[in-house]
Amino acid sequence: MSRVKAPVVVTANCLRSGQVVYLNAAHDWIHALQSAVCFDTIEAATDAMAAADDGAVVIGAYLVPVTKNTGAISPTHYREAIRFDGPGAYIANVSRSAKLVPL
Amino acid sequence: MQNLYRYNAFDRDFVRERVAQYRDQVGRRLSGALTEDEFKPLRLMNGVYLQLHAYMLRVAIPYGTISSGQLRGLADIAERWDHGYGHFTTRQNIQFNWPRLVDTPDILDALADIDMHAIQTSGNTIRNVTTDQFAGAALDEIADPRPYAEWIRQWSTDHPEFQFLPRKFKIAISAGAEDRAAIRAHDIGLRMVRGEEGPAFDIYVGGGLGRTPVVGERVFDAIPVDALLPHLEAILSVYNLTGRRDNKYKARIKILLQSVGINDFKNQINEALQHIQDTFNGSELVRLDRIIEQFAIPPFPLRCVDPYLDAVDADPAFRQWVERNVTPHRQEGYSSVTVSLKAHGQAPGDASASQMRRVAALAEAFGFDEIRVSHQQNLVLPHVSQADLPAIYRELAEVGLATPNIGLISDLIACPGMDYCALATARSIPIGQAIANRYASLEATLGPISIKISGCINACGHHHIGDVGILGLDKAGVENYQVTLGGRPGLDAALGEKMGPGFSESELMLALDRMFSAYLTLRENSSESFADTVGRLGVNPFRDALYEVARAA
Repeated sequence: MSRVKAPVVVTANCLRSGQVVYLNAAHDWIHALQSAVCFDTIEAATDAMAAADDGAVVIGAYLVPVTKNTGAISPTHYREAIRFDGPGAYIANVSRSAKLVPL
Repeated sequence: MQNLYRYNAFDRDFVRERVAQYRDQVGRRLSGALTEDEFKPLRLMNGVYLQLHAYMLRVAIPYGTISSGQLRGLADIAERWDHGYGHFTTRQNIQFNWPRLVDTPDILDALADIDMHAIQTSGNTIRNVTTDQFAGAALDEIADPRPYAEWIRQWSTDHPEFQFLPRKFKIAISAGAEDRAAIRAHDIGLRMVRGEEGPAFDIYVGGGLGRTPVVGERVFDAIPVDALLPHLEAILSVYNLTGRRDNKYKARIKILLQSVGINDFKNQINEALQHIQDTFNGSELVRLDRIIEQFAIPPFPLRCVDPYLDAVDADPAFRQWVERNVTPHRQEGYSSVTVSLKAHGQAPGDASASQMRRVAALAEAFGFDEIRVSHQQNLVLPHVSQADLPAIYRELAEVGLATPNIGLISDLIACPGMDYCALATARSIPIGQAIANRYASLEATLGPISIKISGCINACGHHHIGDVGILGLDKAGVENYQVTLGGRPGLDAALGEKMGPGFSESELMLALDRMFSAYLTLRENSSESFADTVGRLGVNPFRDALYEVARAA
C-alpha cells in the first residue's frame, strides 16, 4: 500500500447505519466532509483516529488524502470522492443528505 | 398453485432460529460485547456486507425463482428499510444497498415471513445454486433442473462439513441443449443429459472468472441421479481437504484442479466416493421425489390467441417487444416474457419497489404466480398465455419495464462497481449507462451483442465471457477501462482476449464507436452477429479499429 500523504481527513463508517462519516475538530463523527478537520501531519491524524475509534461508534477508520483549495476539502482520489458523493446511478432520485441518518 | 418449492415447518423453524441468533449477535455488537473482528464473520454468514457508502444485504433467491408474494415482500423491504429499490445480481439474487445494521434483524424477520433468507449468500460456503431462467418452460430442455437445484440447496444449506471451505463455491445447473446458466464459469457446472435410466448429469469442475479466469472441464459423464449428491460431496470433500488456504487468490477449486491435473483429481474423487457413498442411504432420493412433486408443471389452458396476433399486426412497438423480449415456450400458445431491467440510462438490474409490485401483480394475474431472476439481471415471467401478451406489454410499458432490448447492446451486464462496492477499482454502471444511451438508436442495426462490465478484477460483471468485456481499473488514480473480445458463456465457453492498453471513459466511447463501425463494414450481411464476425475474422481487425487513433497519433 502506498504511503498516505498529508493533508488528510479521518473517515470511517458508522457502526449502526454504515454511513460515511468524518472526524471533526471536536473529535466527533459527522457526515459533512467540509466540516471535517484537516490534519497536516500523518502522526496527528493517526493519533486522533486512535483516540476517536473505540470500536463502539464507527468501523474501519482510515486516513484520506485531500486537497484544501480556497477552504474546500476535496479527496485526491476518485474513490473517496465517490464515497462522499454517493452513487451517480441513483434510481430513487433521492439526494444523499435526505437519506442521512442522525448519528 | 405455484410450481415452486414450499417451505415446511422444519424450514421455517430453521430460518427463524437463524434470525433470532443473528438478532442476538447484532445486539451484542452494538452493546460492545463483540468486537468488529468477532462480529464481521457472523454478519457475513447472514449476507450483511459493509460497502462503500453503507451496509449491503444480499438476499438469496434460490435458482432465481420467486413467487408474487415474495417479490411483493422484497418491494416492501426496499421501501421500508432501504431507498425504495433493489438490485438484481448476476447470481440471480437481490441486494439492498442501504440497510442500517440496526434494522437488519427486522429485515431478516421480514424475509422469514415470506420464506426467504440471506444464509450462505456470503462466506466460504456453497452459494446460491443458479440455473436457466427459462427452466421448466424452455423448448430445448430434457427436464426442469430446478428440483435438482433445490435438492442441492437443501443438501448444501448448513452442511456441517462445508461452512468453512478454502473459498466460496458456486454451482450452476442447466438442462437445455443451450446452456443458459454459464455452467462452465462455475466451480461445479451440472449439465442434465439423458442417461440410461432417466436424467443424468455431466459434471464440469474448476470453472470460474475472477483474477484467474478458467473454463470448467468435464470431469464426469452422465452421472445418474442417485450418484449425484455423493459425487458433489466427494468433490467438495477433496477440495475442502486439499484446496489452498494460505493464499485467498489461489484458493478456488480451479487452482487445485490445475495443480493436480484432471486425472489425479478424478482419482481422488473416486477414492473419496468409496467411503462417502455409504453415507447416503436413499432417504435423499425420497426427498428428491417430494421436491419434484412441488415443481409439477402447471396445466396450461388453451386460449384463443387471435387478439395477440392482431396486436402484433397492428402495433409496431408491441411487435418489436415481442420479437426481442418474448421467448418460445414448451407449450404451444404460451411464451416466456423477459422483463427488461435495462431501460436506457438505468442502472442494469435495478428495480424500484413499484416496479417489483407491478411484476408481482402481472405474475399473479397472468403468470401462474411465478417470477424468475436471470443472471443477465432481468426478470422473467416464465409461463404466460400469448392471449395475455398485449395486456402484459401495456402494464410493463407503464412502469418503464418494456424496453425491447433483450440480447441487444443495451441489455448489458454491469457489476455494482465503485458506485457501491468497496472492492471496486472503477465505476461500471456509468459505463453501461453511457453505452446504452450512445447506441440506443443504432442497437437494432448492430443486432445481438453482449457487453459485460466489471469494476474490478474479481469479475462480478462476467467480462471474460462477453462478446465485449470491459474491465475497470485504477491506473495511477484515474479510472481506466480494458477491453476484451471474443468471450462467450455456454458449452463452448471461451475467455475473451485482452485487446491492449486500457482507455479513459471518453477514449473508450470513441474506441467502441470505431470498433462497431468496423463491424458494420466487415460483417458479411446484416444477419451475421458481432460474435460471428469476430469468430470468422479473429480479433485483429477489431483491435486495429479500437486503437486506430492512438496508433495514428
